[in-house]
Amino acid sequence: MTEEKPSTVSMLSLIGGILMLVNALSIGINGGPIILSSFTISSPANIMDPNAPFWARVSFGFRGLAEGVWIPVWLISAIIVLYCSIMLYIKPIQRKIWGFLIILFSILSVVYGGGFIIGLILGVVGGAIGFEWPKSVKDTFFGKIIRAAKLDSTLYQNLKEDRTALKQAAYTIIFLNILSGLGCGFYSFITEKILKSGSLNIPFRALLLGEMFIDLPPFTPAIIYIGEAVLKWIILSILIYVVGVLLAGGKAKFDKVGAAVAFAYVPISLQFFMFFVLASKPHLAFTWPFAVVLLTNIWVVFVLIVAVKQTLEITLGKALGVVSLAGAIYLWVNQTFFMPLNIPYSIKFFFGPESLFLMVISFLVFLSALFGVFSKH
Amino acid sequence: MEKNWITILSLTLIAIIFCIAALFMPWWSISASPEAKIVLNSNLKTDYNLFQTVTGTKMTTNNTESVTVPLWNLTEKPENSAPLSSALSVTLTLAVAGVGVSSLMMGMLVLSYFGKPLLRYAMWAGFIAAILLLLPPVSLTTTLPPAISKLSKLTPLDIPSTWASINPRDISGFWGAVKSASADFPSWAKGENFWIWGAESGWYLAFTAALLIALASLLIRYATVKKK
Repeated sequence: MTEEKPSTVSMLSLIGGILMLVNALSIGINGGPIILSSFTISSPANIMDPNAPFWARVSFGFRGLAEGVWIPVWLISAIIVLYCSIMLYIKPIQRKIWGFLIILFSILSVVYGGGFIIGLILGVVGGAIGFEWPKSVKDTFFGKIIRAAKLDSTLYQNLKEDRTALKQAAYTIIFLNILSGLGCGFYSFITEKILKSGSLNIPFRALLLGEMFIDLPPFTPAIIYIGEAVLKWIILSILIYVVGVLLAGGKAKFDKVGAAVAFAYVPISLQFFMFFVLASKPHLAFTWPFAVVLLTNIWVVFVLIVAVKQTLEITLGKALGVVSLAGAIYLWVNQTFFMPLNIPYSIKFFFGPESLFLMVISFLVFLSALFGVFSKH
Repeated sequence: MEKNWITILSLTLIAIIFCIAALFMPWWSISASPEAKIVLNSNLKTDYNLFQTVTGTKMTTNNTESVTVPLWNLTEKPENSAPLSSALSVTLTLAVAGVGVSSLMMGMLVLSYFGKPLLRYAMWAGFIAAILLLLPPVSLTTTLPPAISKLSKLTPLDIPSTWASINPRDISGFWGAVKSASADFPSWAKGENFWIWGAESGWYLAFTAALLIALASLLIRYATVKKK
């Protein structure tokens, strides 16, 4: 069902704009970025000790760019988001202009905290969905991304009937990996700066004051990730197709499997927000990025199971089996060929020791046999 | 039109609340920088209000001290506070005028809802209110720095002897900072800001109110054009 006016998306971006305005005003009143930390510390030495307890902070705004003379600029920027959101409702015929401006100024809001991050998400989603109006929300690009993340099985039914599904899938892969690459790139860039700095000045500025080190190198993973992700996507799609259709007897064409697999990667987009949170030294290089990567990848597995079940028209048990077997081969390919690639400022976790890795692979293969993947019945 | 009217009225109402609140809030302040607050575990902040008063607040781990004094208490000769006093008076007058015209616009909006043909006037009142509300922050930004440098001191409270000193003549712009001397901070914080100054909540609220009123007026303009 399509709305007569884009009231839902307009409301989303309006709320996003209000949050951005509040964020900019609160930075003005605070005199610097809003930093929320697990507990107060008075020296970076307390958190840079190898035995330091877990301490983490989230910073809304980049020090040096968010406060002072910049605030009027950010207030105007938030007001533009508000204006475009209202105009999107009043004058939907010019939705492409309003949608584009909402997205642009919402992305810009990252510098001053992105309306406590929620504003940024609402602004970008609202602007992008508004851009595609009068399509119903669930059929828009972001609508599909949200449905995939919500494990909505009807998405894959729609993709099966959609002739442009593979094209959309390619865009999705590119978009998701730009986000993931930027998040990982900036996180590892800041982490390297903090850990390799000789003095406590860099940790003080980055961890306690919310300073962001902006440079070109962190952008490289965003570009390289796209190439790597496209290859991984093709490999996983082939594996799912071979295991699911040829071996387990599922019913789907290769392009539909490819489209479904692309949408399964949706949760990795959350890796973009990784650099908003930084932790104490023992947890900076491992605990936090590992938690984010692990959780997003577990989510990917859940989405993939739903996608495989719906696209191949098989039972849940068989879908689990297909994902186990294809996943086992994919894990091995990833560990053998992609992990050793030296991508600057990327975040990678090796599965080790090798004996444990092989045990997990064997277990997954055993699981797939148990779920009847090797039988077409 | 119903939904547009609610949006316009809400924006105007929020703007009026913002600019009334702005009148009673500080417009400029000087305080210890966030880095100094972390290093020293204490803060000293001085707020300048439109009603010619200055409020100094000193916070340490076990004590909070706050004092409000008239502006001329910061000078040895009363005439030295005159430029700042006049800058604040002009700002206050413009802000009050902005509140008045915004309220007028609100009244016209309400009447136009009940059928009176006042929407066009409300739009013009809105544009005038937006300019009037934008002028106080702009005016204060240009007039405050030279005026404040004539004062004898910046805060009514005593600055601890171990802290970096700050002099009214150091205030070269509306926004600014003074770096720490090497002795003030530990080695890992050397070269960071000690004092920062700039606009305060009143200034930001008035600026935001001006933008909101301008936004409401633009929406009225669109609504009236659409009606024709």
